[in-house]
Amino acid sequence: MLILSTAFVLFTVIVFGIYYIPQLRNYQVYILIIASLFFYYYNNPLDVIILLISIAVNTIISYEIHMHKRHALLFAVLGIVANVLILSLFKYNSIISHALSLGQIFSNKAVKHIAVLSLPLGISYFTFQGISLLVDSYRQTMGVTDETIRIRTFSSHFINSALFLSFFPKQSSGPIITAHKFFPQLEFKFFQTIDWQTTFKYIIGGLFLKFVIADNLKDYTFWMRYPEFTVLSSIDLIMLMYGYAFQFFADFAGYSLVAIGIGYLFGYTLPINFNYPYIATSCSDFWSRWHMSLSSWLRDYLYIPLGGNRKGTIRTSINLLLVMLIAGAWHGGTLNFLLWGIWHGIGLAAGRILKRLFGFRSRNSPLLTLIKIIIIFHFVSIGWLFFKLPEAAHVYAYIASISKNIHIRSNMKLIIPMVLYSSLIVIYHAHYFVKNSPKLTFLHRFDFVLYGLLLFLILLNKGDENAFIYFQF
Amino acid sequence: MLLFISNFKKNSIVMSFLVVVFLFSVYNAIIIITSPPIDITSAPNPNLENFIIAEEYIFEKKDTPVVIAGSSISKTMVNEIIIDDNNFWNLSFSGSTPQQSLYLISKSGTRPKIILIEIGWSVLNGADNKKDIDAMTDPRLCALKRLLPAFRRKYQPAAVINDFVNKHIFKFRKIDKNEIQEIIPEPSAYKVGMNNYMKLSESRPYGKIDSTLRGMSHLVHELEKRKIKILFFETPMDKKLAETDAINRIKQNALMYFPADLYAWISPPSDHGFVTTDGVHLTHASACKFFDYLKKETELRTRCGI
Repeated sequence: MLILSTAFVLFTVIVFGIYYIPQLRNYQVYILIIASLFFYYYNNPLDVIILLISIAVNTIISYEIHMHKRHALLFAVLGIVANVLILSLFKYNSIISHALSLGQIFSNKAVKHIAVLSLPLGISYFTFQGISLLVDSYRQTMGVTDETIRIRTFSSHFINSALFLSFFPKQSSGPIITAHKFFPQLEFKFFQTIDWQTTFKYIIGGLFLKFVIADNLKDYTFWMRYPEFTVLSSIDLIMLMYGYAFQFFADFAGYSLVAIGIGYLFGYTLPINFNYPYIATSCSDFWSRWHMSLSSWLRDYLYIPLGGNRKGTIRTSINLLLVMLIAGAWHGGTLNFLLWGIWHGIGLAAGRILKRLFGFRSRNSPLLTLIKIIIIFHFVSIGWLFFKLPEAAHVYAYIASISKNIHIRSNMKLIIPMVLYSSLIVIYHAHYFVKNSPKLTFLHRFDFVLYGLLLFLILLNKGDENAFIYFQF
Repeated sequence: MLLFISNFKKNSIVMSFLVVVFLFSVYNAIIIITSPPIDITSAPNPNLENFIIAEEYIFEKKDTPVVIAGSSISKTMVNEIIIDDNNFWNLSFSGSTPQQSLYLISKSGTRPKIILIEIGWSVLNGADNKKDIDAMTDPRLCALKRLLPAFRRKYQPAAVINDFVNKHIFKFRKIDKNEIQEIIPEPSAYKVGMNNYMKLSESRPYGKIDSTLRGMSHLVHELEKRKIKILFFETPMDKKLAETDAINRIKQNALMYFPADLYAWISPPSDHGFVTTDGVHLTHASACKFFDYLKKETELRTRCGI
């Protein structure tokens, strides 16, 4: 059941209807768990087993952390290792099966079974949330943080954790919510308190980004495939690279907005995932604006525990590189994702060093800000090539073709519509600079015109349906 | 009413829907009154172009006597430029097998006199999308699109703006068939295309060949029941590709399903003056030449005075 498909809409409406029946208020959490498991079962029945294993492992271990303060660290480490092993088995099954076949420890049949394992929907997300449950329980037990995860009995903790890990709106591609932010929201929900206005804005904004921008741009960025792109002009290749950067943003931000909107319908606030990412003036600024739920997870559960920026420039650079390498590996087990992680790791480390060298002397003039935005946008867009193209050699060929194919005439039939769709994302980002202008606040009263226009375009200018890019992770 | 407006601010959701109704009414009225002449060839991408060609057939060209069912290979005979004959409509879709076109004719309930089916590399094209055709030929949706043409793909706001920009800002002119001249294909593009087809042949896609042809034969038999005459044709291609294992297998299997004693086959002309851009897709000039040949051969073999 693809999110945004007719089946999904019907499913959500039915669950929503049952969820708010006053007589069933005591069972709201159970209703959501059953619905989430059904959503998961509908996608692939076998995946439910993996999700249930993850729920069981994380619930039992977080409960043990709570009950046995003396061994809390041991349990937390065991739990994290278990989560990483489960994720690795599915994410890196081809590498693992290859290694096992070389070692000849397991039978060929077992190795083949591992090699053909399919990636369960959203495993990367519920694994990170599972780790968050363990770490937050540990920190809470050790008195580092306030008590946000209330553990009364094992059964109530099991039910709460099951909903935390399986809540269907965020199940496919996040946003990743941490345990200390989700558990306090576990309370009775009332129909009268639904924030319809916000829900409407999130869902319509998300649908517009996905259906109108991403699904239309994908019919052009389709040409970014090897070896076909080697005969395109340099301008075409650069425009396609920009087009893919905008498509990727629209696709992922669109999904996130819809997920947040549906979360609101059921009374849960999911974290914002994007904040005008393409106006970032440095790599660290970019990561505070792009896939924010992942970057804050990496910061809180990896970068800071590694020492963050407290141990000198060299150690900070190594930490940044390591965190981004893990972020790359989290996306997939191919060399391209690792290279993408290294690319961003280098960007972050270099940014910090440059800031130390020149940061205090440079003034933030509008021109300098614009130059920085352009540089970072290009840096990020080149990085997306590692996502779009399956092999590192293809990325190299793409960049080489940009420099070689200057003599080839550009194809305006390809460029004009891409500019048309991309310009909407550029306008959205430009809005950041004027959104708080006192002269324009009166426009907020006419928000409904904008949302009416978005709905109109969804109705008439929807692209051909396509799965979300981030579903593969 | 507390139920739905408990925490609405100034009814902006309702207002948003009213804006949609207003915009849609105005846009639809403009489309009906002005009927902007959107060039099919200016469709922004091949996917949208496929939809526009299909809708154009359903809504405007359903009585055309001769329909071409094919892929991007036949699509080089561009409607309204190279196919300048009202008796022909090219219902070829990029990236699809001819099965897709046959399925559309079958679902739309139209009855052309003749269907010309392309046989060649397109048999190996990606999976056909029956879901889109089912939606497109749904009688209720068709009735809605007749009543409200703004819902037709060619009138998508982006397609209309794109057409306007092409014509009035960049001053792109529609290609004139009489002005088309032969070009020398870009060597690197030609090489890339040739390598792709050679690789495809080396992958021995026998299962795909058989499944597509089997699917086509079911549709052909169904269409024949409507008294539609079926003809098969092959387009000229690079000599090396014409001798590949895959293309021989396609021809052999096709002849098994559609024997030459029961069906007319139009072979590519012996004249080797045809030029392709990648070994398979004809240039505009060659597509013009091939269409004239195809038309002549069709008339000759059917003698039905199209």
